[in-house]
Parts: sequence; C-alpha cells; structure tokens
Amino acid sequence: MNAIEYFCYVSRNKIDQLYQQLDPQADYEVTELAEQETDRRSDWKTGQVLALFSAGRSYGKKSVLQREAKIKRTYLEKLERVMLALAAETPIPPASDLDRWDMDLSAYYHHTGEFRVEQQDFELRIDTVVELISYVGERSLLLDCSLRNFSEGPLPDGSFALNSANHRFFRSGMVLTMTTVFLLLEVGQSRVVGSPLFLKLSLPLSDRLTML
Amino acid sequence: MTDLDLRTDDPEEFQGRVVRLDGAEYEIGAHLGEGGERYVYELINRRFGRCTHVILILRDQENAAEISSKAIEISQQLRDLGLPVVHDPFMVYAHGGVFELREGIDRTDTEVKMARLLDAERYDEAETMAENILATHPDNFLALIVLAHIRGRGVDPYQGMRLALAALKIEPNTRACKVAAMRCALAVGAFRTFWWQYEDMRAKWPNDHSMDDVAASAHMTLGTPEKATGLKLADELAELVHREVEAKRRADEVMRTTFTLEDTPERNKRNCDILGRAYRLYARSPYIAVNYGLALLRTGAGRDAHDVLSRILPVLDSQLHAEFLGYMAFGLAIDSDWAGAYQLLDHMTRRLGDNDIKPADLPGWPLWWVERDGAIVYSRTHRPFKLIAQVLTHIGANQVRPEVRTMAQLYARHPCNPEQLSR
Repeated sequence: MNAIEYFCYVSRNKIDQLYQQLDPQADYEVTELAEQETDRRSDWKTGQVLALFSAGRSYGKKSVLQREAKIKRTYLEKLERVMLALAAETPIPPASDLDRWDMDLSAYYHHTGEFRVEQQDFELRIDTVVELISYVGERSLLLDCSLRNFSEGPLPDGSFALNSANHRFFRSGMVLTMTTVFLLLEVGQSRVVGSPLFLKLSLPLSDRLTML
Repeated sequence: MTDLDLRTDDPEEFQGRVVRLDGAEYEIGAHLGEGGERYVYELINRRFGRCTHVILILRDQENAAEISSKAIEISQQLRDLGLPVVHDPFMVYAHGGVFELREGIDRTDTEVKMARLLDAERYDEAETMAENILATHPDNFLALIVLAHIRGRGVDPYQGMRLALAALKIEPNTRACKVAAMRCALAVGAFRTFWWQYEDMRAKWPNDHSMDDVAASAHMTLGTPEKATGLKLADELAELVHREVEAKRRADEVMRTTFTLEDTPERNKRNCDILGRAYRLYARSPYIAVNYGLALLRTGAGRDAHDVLSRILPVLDSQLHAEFLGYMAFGLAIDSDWAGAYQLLDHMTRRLGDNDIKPADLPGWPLWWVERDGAIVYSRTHRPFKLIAQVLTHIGANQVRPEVRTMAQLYARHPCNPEQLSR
C-alpha cells in the first residue's frame, strides 16, 4: 500500500436501510465467491468488494482517536455486509458505463476520481448537505453528502468542526482522490447525480494531517 | 469513576474519566474544543476541586510524541526570536497513549488577591487570607504555597518545607508548587528534595530555565560547580560558576597525591598540610573538606576540625549526619569544650535511635572518608571511647541522659575496639 486509505464517509441512513433488507442467514463473503465470475473486469463483484475492505478498513483515519469510534466500527461492518450483498446480487458497474449507449442503467455505480466540494459557504451544521463534484468523462458527477456522515467534524452539539485537518477540503476547494459507490439519482446530458453509500479517501503517505 | 484508557475510549467518553499522574488524581471536565491535532478538555484536580490544567489529547496517537515534541520545539524557536508564546504544555505517556497537560488554574478572586498581596510583600494580609482559605478548604494548594513562602522566610523554615510539600502532594504537576518546594528545600538543606523537583521540572518543561540560577547555587553549595556549566545563567552567575570550577580544578590538582593512612603525628601533619592547601583553594568539595576536618581532628586541632566539619555537614547525605556529629563532638572534646561536646553526643545518640543503637553505628576514630562509598576508614583505637568518657565525666553523672551513657558503654563492642578485635 503506497497511500493512507480509509472510509471518510459512510451514509448511515442508507446503510441502515439496506442492512435491514439483508438476509440475516446469508453468508455473502463465502457463498457468493463462486458465483461471481463474469466477463466484465471493471464491474465490482464480491472479490473487488473484499479487496475494498482489505486495505484501509477503517471509518476515519486509522490509529487516530475518533469520535463515535465504536459506532463507526459497527457501521463499517454493516457497510461491508451491504456491499457484499449488493455485489452478489448484481455486479456493480463503473460510472464510466453511463457514457455507453449499449449498457442498461444500474441502481449503483462505483467510481474513483478526484473530488472537491462544489459550494464552500455552507452552514457548519451536521444536518447540512454538501455537494461533492467529480467527473465521469465529460459529465460532472455530483454527490450529495450529509456532513453528519463524515468521519471528522461532527460535534455532539450539532455543529460541524472545521480545523486544520479538513479546512482546505471543505472551504478552499482542495481536491482529494476518493473511491465511492453511489446510488444513481439522475443522469443528464451534462451531469450525473448520485447519493453515495461511502467515500473512501486515499492520501499520500506523507500527509499526516488531512482528515475528513 | 473509570480511568481514562486511550486505547478504548472514544472522545465523547473522555469527560468524567480519571487521569492519574505523579500521585495526583484528576477528572476530565468540560470539552473546550478540538482542532486538527488535539481534543481539548478541562482537567480538574479532585482534591483541589477545580480545574488546574487543560488536557490535550492528540488525535494521531501513533505519531503523537513526535507531533507534541515538534510543537514544543517550534514554540521555543519563536520564543528565541523574542515572540510572545504561550507557556509550554508537557507531554505524558500514560493511560494507554500520549497526551499533553497545560497549566491553567481556575483561581477565585480571593486567590488572585492573595497572590498579589504576596507579590507586594504584604505578608500579614496574605497570610491571614491563606489561613482563612485553608480553614474551609484544607486542600487549597494555592493557599499552602503562600503560607510556605511566608513561613519559610521566618524562624521555622521546616514549617515552610512541610507546607510546600503538602501543596506539592495535592498538585505535583504545577510549576508554582515545584518552585515553592524547591525554594523551601534549599532553605533547609534538603538537597535531595530540591533535585528531585528540579529534575522533574526540567523533564516536564525542558525549555523552562527559570530555576537554573537556583540550581547553579545548589551545585556550588554541593561542591559540584562543573554541573552548573550547562545551565542557562545570568552573566554574573556564569562567571562565578566559572571561577568555582577553576578553583575546584586547582584543588583537585593538589589532591593528586598519595596519602598514607597511618595515624602517626608525622603522617597526620603531612596529610593535614596537603588537605589544608586544597581546602583553602576550594572549601566546598565535601571530599576535601571532610578529609581535612578529619585530619585536623587527628592532629589535635579539635575546634578547627569541628568548624570545618560543621560547615560541610549540611551537604552530606543525611544518613551520615549522626556519625559526623560524633566527629564534631570529638573535636570539641579535644578542645575541652565539654558542654558543647556533650550536646553533640546527645544529639548523635538521639539520631542513632537512643535505645536501638548498634555498636557498629557508633563513630570510630576516623582516618579517611571514601566519598564514593560514603564510608569512613577507622583506626583501631580506644580514642573515641576515651574522649566520650572524658566528656561524660566532666558533665557529671546526674546530668547525662541514660541513653547517652548506654551509648558510651556500647563502645566495648565496637568493631574497632582493639580488645574486641583481639577476641
């Protein structure tokens, strides 16, 4: 691993909802592996999901004291199970498939790219939703993210703390590389709108301070 | 109450956790804020009942020590440039992780006023105020410090020391308590307590040199001026240290000779002359002063021996004091100062434990002090007992405490008693 990786954002509501729909008896990690062979290497199947969780398996930067660390561990386990279940049901295609006329639309897509916060004068409350922007081909990919679900920043009094570790991303247009799986909400000529299940951040090893 | 455990506790669980440090118990209080590197909470000293510090818990525990050291280093660089910088926190490895403590005592208006009165040298008013505070809050270390300062200046510096140590026990992680304890310790010659607190202060606040001048004075008193050369000192004091180091070097040159430990008048005189030369060059070396004092004793200069030994006694290990009181008593006895000699013997007997004295604990006739081992080489002779017997005879049987008489009788079983050895 040549980067610091971790899940910086997990959509707790969506994960809770999806988790409730899971078959509690199903053992996705084991039983679905054999059923995953498809001819499309870019699709995410169980193997890719397992790989996603094999490195940087942490909600928030690892070895860093986190608020709600115990709750976050629970959500990471739920996320893993949900992701395995989704991938087992239907392989998750890459967002670049949205540019292909020959592909059917899927409910979920995965994407890895550079993200930044579109509007930077938002209110610092945990119920604020910010829009993250990336690009899929020529189209912008817009992801609506609730500040509550970022690993760093939410405070018990409902405010969202900006500090030296996250200020540049939220207020100064800093670009960070992330991987996401999002629920597709809208596909238009110039934009794709989604709601992310998670955002996994990848930072250079030298970056000791950035935390989202 | 649960102890803080940084391996398992989440930040929202910090409040109410107990932090133990150097014997003091604290409770993490209100959340004061957080930044990219630290969570910040009040820290309440449980005996004092109020906030004495701010605890800064580093988020990145893996690199916490490095982050903390770097921050302190940068602060010092800014300070060196003459920029105003908030005082340094100190780093602590405990409770499963790394955190910092920054002093920040929550003082009442009365406590602030008390401190101002002390600074203004209005001691009576400050003392009354401190006493009033302690009447209702005996664990108020701020009042104890004020009283320690005032009473330590008075006729009983030991009372000042007791008060300062009481304050230190309540709050060992605040510099004001350490400084009070150090000053009181020096006033009573409690050098171990002084160094213990000085070293702890330097370990916690390596950039704080406010007590270096006092430490230099202590080093000079103890005859180790060379240890003060690395301290940050005022120019005048640095010059004085330099002169002392040079004097000690020249005295050590004189001491580079072979001493023959033979209790004859010729040998004693020769040794005494050499030691006298070294002593006149540098009188603060315990090694030189003690051996010079003992040589004077053997040459019959009893009063001089007493004076030299009594000057160096305060810097010797307190475990040696009883024994040296004996040598000083021998000196006065040689000088026919029977009352003075008896007083010292009585004092020695009490320090040795009155009815619990072992014959080997009694001072023999000293030939040499081996500083490294803190041990005295004795001569096989009846001399000490004869001197003591003379003292007791002159004082009169009815004036001698029974314990002192029993002590004298124990010399029959002293290891250096020639009869005892020949058995």
